[in-house]
Amino acid sequence: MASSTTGEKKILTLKGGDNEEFILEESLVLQSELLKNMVKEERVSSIPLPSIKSKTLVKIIEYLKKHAELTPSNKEEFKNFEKEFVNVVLEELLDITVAVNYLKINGLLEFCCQAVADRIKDKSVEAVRKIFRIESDFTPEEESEFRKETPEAFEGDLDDTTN
Amino acid sequence: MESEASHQHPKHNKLTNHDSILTIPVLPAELVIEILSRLPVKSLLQFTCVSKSWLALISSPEFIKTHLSLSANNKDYTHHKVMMSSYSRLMSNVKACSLRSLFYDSITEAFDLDCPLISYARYMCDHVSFIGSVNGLICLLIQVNEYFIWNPSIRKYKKLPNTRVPMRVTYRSVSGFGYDELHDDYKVVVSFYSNSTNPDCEVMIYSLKSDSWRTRDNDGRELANGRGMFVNGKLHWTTTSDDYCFNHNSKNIISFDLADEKWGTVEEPCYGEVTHFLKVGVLNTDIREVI
Repeated sequence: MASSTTGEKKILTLKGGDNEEFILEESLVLQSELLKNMVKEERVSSIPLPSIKSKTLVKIIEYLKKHAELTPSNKEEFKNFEKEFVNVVLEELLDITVAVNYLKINGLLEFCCQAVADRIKDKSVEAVRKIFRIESDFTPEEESEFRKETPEAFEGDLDDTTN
Repeated sequence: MESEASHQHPKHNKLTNHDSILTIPVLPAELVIEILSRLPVKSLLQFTCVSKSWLALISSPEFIKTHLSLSANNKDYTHHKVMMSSYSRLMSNVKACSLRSLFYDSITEAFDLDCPLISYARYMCDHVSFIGSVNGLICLLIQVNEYFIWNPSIRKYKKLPNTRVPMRVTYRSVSGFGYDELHDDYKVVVSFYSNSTNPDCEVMIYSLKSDSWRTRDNDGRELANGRGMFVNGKLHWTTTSDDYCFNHNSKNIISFDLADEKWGTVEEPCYGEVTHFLKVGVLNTDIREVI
């Protein structure tokens, strides 16, 4: 997709992980520090983002549009949008958070991190290990010591299905 | 673990397209820190059991500082609590409620803070006196010289070494608790005044870093009154008039800078003739005088 200018507005193409293309106004992507630098310094018109699923990219572009329209009068509406935005299965939320971190969209990153934190705060240690794909490197003795000392840590929400 | 992981996401095994992104993302370390620093303390304490690296991360001073500053600067006051204590003879009780709830909810419930020192105070036939709080730490006093720093979030407390009590028959003490940002240290300042017509004063400063008390004089300042109010790195007290025992006419506000340990005087607001007892309070990050 070649760079084109319609009136004052510059157009940019983002290419998702599965080669799906998204055409949007350049001004929208300036909210991302990463894309802003690419656009300003390298004057690119098409940016491949192979590490981001198209599904995730759709969500992020939706956010960028809403955020660009944010005014003092629709603040409430935006807040509701944000709430709905993170109301997805945990796996998708993690995908979005990783992508937002990569793209460096600051306000949204903080919001996503808080949303992830809210979702995992009552999880059991086992569930957290699975979600973050961490294997315990404690010895079986240490592990049983933990279970004795803080049984509640292992009794939390066992749901690790990332939903 | 391996078989469990692949079992958990069977769909990923079928993917052959190289452009597709597989599995749940592995979170970069900095992102894990961002997420963990937004968890409540209770969850963090439990998640120290996740792995050695999480234990090291959650216990590190840098992480604790980041977590504290995020909680303290939370604009919704999600983590801010209002503490209330009540005491009758030999009985004391510490309760807390959410500041956010006070602001936004029609009814706010106060819950017991489960202060571990109450039973000790009861045993000593005394109650727990509140000295001050900063960064989620609370300084308490039992009897005349037993100071404690209590962290209700992790339910731990530390008993400070006993202060040396002046060898006089009667005296009164005035204390304050605050944080010295320059030296990253928590300090308790206690002034002991003898109850005589020509009062002299002995000031003792406790530093958490050195876990010891030092003496310092009060540089001939007027005598402090009430509880020290901590704001902008300084403790503030109102001062008493000369015959402070009988006449509670406070005149000025004095301050003690916890970083350079210097006394100062706060310029007085113009409030005309005052015959009432003055008290200082803190509003946001300003010091206020209440008449």
